[in-house]
Amino acid sequence: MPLNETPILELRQIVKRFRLPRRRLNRPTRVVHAVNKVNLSINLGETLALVGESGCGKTTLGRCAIRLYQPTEGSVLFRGIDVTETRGIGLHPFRKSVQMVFQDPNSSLNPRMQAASIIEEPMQIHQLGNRAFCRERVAEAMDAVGLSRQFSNRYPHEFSGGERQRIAIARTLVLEPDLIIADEPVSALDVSIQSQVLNLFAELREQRGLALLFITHDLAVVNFIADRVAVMYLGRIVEIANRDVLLREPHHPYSQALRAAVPKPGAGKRQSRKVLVGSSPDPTSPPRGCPFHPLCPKAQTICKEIEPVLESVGGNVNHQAACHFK
Amino acid sequence: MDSQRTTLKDPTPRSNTANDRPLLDVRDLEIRFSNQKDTIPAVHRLSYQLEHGRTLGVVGESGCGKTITALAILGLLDPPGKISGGEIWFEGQELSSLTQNELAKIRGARIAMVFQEPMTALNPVYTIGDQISEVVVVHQNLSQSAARSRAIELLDLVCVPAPSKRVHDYPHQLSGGLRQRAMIAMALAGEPTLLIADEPTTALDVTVQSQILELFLEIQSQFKMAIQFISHDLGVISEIADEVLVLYGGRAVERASATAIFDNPRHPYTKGLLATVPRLGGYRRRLPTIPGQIPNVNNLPSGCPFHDRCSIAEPECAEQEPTFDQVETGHWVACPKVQS
Repeated sequence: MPLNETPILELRQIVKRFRLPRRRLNRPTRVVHAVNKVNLSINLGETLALVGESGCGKTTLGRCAIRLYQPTEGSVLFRGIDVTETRGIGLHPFRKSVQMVFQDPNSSLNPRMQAASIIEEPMQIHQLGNRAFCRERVAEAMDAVGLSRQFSNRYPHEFSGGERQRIAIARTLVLEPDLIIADEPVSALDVSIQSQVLNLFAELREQRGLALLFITHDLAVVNFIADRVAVMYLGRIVEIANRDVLLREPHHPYSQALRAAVPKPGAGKRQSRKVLVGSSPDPTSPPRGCPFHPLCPKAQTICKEIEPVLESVGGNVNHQAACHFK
Repeated sequence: MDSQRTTLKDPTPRSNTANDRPLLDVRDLEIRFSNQKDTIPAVHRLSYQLEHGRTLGVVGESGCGKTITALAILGLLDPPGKISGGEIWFEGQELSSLTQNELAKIRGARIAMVFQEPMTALNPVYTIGDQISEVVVVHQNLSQSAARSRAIELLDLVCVPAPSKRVHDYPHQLSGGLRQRAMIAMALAGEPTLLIADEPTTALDVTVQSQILELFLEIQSQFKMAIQFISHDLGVISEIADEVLVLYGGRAVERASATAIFDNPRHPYTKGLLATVPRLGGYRRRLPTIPGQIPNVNNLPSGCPFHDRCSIAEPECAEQEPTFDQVETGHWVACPKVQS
């Protein structure tokens, strides 16, 4: 797929900190650095996958990108325009072009609304045309996601998990967005339903030239859907590359560990193999230096002192990794 | 590490000699949920065996009956769920006919269970040391102090760092991976011969999942227990299981050695499931899919429950319930279209 190189969304030096409640009155408040100085850009028509373990900040970054969270520092650029501080009606064009699909369709759909009203609601908010026009577009969106039109008057509980996720996707499509941020959209679905929804994303991307920011923890899903992959660890991007490069020759030791940990169906019974030893550091008190050094098999003294920056690997500008060892 | 396991001879189901009897023998199990109005058959005519020291992987999607079966073995079905037929033989006893008191002697001692979400399965107001010691005190009659040192030993065994300190921690002080290790330590405390693990790695990150799978293989080679490992993840099943049982709509659709299931699946559902998972190697523009939705067990299609999604279904599939037949040695399939 030829990619248009204009970024539709650009994140610059995004920092998001959360304050945690004090454990005791006389103690200082604790702060979690959920996202730490992240730069990321998504081009038109491109699918960027954001992978990492739970608590690495991938969901927080996704929510900062769509301004569900206000970033503590840094800026969000939409088609080259800074929208970080934009409010109210000024934000409408951004909200219309950037839409979100959440992980759990059971909680992201209003149980008291019928499917057609759920799908229609964004158009009412953005005042897109009259009733008849909206009806027609809802029907089109339902066709596009493979939901029969006769189900329009059903309530969310009358649908299965996969169908509910289709409603959530249809709800974004009526606004004809340029970018969909999908936060683990298939993780809550059963295996045989997962592939149906993944195929739907692939179809929509091809037919509508949609850009996707696909947040997931599953590298096998990444291999199917992504053009580029960014790997996050403890609030930072530790490696970013094209899909094939990242999955075949991951450079960062964390990306390598992630890839090695994916269980492969039919590969036969497990032989003892290298796994990471220990558990991830506490995000309220990240280690000095490289955040991955306590678990890293390659760690040296320098890793404990100096935090590595994202630099290109092997002269490939599209492949960057944050590791002292090239 | 698994050499002694691979030398075990192939299971011979329902053999007559006492010594050769499988550790767990489930025969024609029926589980129903009923209220005044209707009866929902959650599990229908399920039979399988598990030999000493082997691992059976149980695969299936939501509502296929994999967790319900495990709870039935342990006598933990909540009303209105009820075993309405069949037998569960374990070490020469028929479990479904035992009283709760008799079952309590087996649960935690001979059969232990590891649950999916350790945060909800552990008691938040007791330290993990207390919870592990309790199992030891109840089932092995040790004193409190001996139980405490046994708890530390067990935590060490499941590779919890600094076990003599961690024994004083409450569940919320541990990471997800450590909590699951504590759960496994608790399961091992009674030195069970059968360990049932219900999606024990599903709530964990892949790198942690990899550590826990490694741990299961280690403790199995040390304790020589049989494991019934329930998962929806075919990759995980492939890494851990000797044999695989595939469930659909509360019925067994296929059962064979892990190699046969992954290299030569025979039932259309197993084939579809294997084709449909995204994989790491190679690029595919579209994933093969199984059309339709997972059926609701209270409204299963007639005949073969899979017929409305099946690519090779014929009209008679909607009428006649398939039998679970052996098509090759050690390979059972519930599909009349599959020839031996």
